[in-house]
Amino acid sequence: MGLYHFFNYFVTITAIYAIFALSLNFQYGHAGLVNFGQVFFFCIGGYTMAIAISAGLHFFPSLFLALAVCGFVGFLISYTARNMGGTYWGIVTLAVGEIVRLVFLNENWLAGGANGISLKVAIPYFEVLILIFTAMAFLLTRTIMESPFGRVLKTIREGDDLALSLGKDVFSFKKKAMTVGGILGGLAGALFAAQKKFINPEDFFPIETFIVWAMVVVGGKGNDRGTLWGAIIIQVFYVGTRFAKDYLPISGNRLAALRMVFIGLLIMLTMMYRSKGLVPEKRKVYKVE
Amino acid sequence: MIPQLIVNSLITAAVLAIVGLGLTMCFDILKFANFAHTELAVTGAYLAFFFNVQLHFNMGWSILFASILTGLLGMLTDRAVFKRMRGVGDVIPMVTSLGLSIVMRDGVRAIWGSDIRLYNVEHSAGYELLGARITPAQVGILTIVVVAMIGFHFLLRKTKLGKAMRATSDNRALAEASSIDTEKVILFVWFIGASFAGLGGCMIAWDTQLDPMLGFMIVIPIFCAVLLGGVGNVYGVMIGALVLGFVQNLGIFVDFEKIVNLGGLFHIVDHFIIPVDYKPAIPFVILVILLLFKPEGILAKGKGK
Repeated sequence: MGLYHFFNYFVTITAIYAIFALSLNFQYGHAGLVNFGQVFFFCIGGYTMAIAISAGLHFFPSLFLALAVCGFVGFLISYTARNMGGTYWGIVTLAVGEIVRLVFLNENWLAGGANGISLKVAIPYFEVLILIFTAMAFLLTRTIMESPFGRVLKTIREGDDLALSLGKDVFSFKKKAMTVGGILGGLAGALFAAQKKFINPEDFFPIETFIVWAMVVVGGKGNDRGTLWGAIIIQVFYVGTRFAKDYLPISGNRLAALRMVFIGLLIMLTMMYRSKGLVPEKRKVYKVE
Repeated sequence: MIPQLIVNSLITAAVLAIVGLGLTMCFDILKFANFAHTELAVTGAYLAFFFNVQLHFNMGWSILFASILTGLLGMLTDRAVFKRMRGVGDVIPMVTSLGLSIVMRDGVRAIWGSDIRLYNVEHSAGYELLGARITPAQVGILTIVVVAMIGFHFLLRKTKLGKAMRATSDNRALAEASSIDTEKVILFVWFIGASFAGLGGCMIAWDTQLDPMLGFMIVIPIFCAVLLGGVGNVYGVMIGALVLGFVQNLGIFVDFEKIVNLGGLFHIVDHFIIPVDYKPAIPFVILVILLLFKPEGILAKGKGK
């Protein structure tokens, strides 16, 4: 792999994961929804894209379809958040993520099962397009968080009681937050599938969820700029160490394991010593006239 | 076929119960879901591999040493990681435990590799018992788990320490006011929970094989057993494990035709049998349904007085 191609790959994969991390940050960082199954949006977005393209749709209609499906899935899954709090919901989402992957693995008619499905797409300047989408996702979350809607989400994050006392329908806000998070996660998944041109259920192990968690936690939850930094840091490390095996007397398999040990440690140490992340969220003070 | 299914269900239930026991106790006292708990089971299983295959100990001693070491490792994780997180809410320790689970899973993978491994024990065809085939390993598993459970019951009910454990789990502030050193109790709960998890990990690996992904494969079934029984209910987790063991093994043989056709109201399908590929999904679906409709568990948290 030449340097240019490597750089190209690195920038696109980082940009895609940045969108994915933004979608998690929107749910966990901004709305306080502990989603341990974030990969299901990535999975459903990727598969919708793949199925739509093999059905003969063009790139943009397929992308739109993927976003719509993921937004709807997010809306549906939000119903599970109605009567349960953080911990229980975390376990449920982890289970739902695995159920989704098992469905794609076992239903061969749907998208090839374990053999996966390939996407025949060729988009000119695809890398640039991905970067534009990342910028758009960033601006979207920023705009939402600057709006009154965003402020209510932050209130809900700190516990349902305050928002309820202000007469806000907490559940309806959670539904909207999950829908937006789903659309962003679906965007990441669809772009991932279009960039990789071939996906199978092995691309959507829960480990993907854990990697985006590392990005959000290390970067700084509740801060979109921090999340982008987190995505870059984790990806530099993740992609960079792939080449370390050429220089170190260590097998590829063992290196892959050590790489994950390091990511796990990064999550742990950040939570233990710097739970606000590298770029902490700025606290805003609103003056009431 | 039925006797065989019962044997298989009992084996599944036994290992789920022994691993779930520690999880339900920690969940109850420390108020967070420890996603690294099942990784303790894998670590225990590989420690037994270290003693058994690499140091040529016999299986019994290997399991004993591995369980004790896993128990100490559990105490160490509490001291080094979770002790500083008392009273910061449930999300921070939960996310930390997610990080810890990755460290442990891939730590095992880095040390012992990803290949499937076996203990150095004789694998015999087993005995015939009322039409079911049961291997010596499975007899051993059932015996060890039943002994461990009865021992735990006596510890909890008949000793001063057990009384302190129950008091801490019921109301930590009140226990402290009654001059119970709750930090010491918590440390002991970690030791028991982690060593039982290690024991359970050895059992699973002994019955099947060693695989670094084993902890992840059982994490949701274990949570399911814990939540079925009600968090903190140590007898509940045993019952939850039994329910799950039977449902998982029998679920793929039952024809759900009546349910799908709404008891004969419609005629949508002739037969509806869960495909065997979806067997791993059964606990996941039960868990989701359970948490949606009855998050406090099937058994109320009646821990006895």
